[in-house]
Amino acid sequence: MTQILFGDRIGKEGKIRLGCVAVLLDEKREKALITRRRDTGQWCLPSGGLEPGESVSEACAREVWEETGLKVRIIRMTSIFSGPDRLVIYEDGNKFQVISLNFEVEKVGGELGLSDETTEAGFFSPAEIEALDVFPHHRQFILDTMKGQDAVFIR
Amino acid sequence: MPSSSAENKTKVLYGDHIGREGKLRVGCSAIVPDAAREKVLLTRRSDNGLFCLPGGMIDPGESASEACEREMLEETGLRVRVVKLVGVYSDPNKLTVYPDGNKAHVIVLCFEVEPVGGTLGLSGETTEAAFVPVGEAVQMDLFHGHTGHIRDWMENEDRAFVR
Repeated sequence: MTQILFGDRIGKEGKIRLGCVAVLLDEKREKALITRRRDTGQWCLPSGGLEPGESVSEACAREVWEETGLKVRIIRMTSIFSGPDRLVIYEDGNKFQVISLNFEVEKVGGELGLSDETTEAGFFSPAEIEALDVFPHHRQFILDTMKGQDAVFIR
Repeated sequence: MPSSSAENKTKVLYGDHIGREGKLRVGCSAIVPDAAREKVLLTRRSDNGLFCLPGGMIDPGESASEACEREMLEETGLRVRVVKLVGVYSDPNKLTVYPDGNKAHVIVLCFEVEPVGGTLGLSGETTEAAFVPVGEAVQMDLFHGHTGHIRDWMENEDRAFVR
C-alpha cells in the first residue's frame, strides 16, 4: 500500500517524480469528481505519474480514462504543488517527491464507471469532502480550481 | 583538434514520442525581463555553446520555485523571486542526450522571475550572460526550444501555457 510521510524537506530522501491531477467540476462548479481507491480506501482526485514519452495533457487524459472511464481534455493549469516536505513510498519500496501539476479538465466523452483501482466514484462538494478520508492536499486542489483564478497557484 | 566533438555536448533529438527512450526529469527555466519588458536575460552554455534561458533541474527536497531561484543565483549571480508560471513544456517528441550518455524526457516549468538582489556575472556553466531584445532572442537557435518559452511569455497571459 502506498504510504505518504511528512517532514521538513523529507523529499530529499526520494527521487523527483511528476504527477498530474485532474479536477472535473460539475456544471454549477460546486462539486468535483473524486474516486475511492481500492488499495487504501481513501478518496482522491483522478491522478497519476507522468511516464517518459507522454505530454502532461496525454498523461492527464490517460489517468482519468483509466480510473473513471471518462474522456477529458485540459482546460487550464490551476496549481503546482512541489511537496518538498512530503515523501511518497510505493509498495515496491521506491521513494519519491511527487511534484503535482494540477489541471481543470472538461468531459469530452465516455461514461463514468469504476476500474480495478477504484471502488466508488462521484461528485462531492468541498464541505462533503471534508467529512471523507481524502488524499492530503486534494481538497485544496479542488478549492484552488473553484476560485477560477487564471494565474497558476505556486505552492 | 580537441577530441571533444558532438559526442561531448548535450544534444536534443526529435522523433515521434522519442521521450520514451529516456528517464523523466523535471527542470525549470527562468525569464528575467528588463524593467521595460523589452529584453530578456540569456546565458551561453559552456557545454554546447548555445544560448538559453537560465535554469536547471529540480533537486529532491526543494520546490520548483526554489529550484528556479537557486539555479538563477548559481548561473547568473542574480537573486530573484518567482512572479508567475509562464507554462509547462512536456513535448514527448524530444529527447535530451547528455555527454555521459544518459537520456531524458525533460519536462520544463518556465517561470517569470524578478531580480531582488545580486550582481549579474558568469559561472562555470556559462560563458556569456546578456539582456537581449526579445525580437532578437526569438530569432536565435536557443537550447531546448527555449524560444517557445519566450514567445509564450510575450503573450502576457495570466494563464499558463500547457504544452
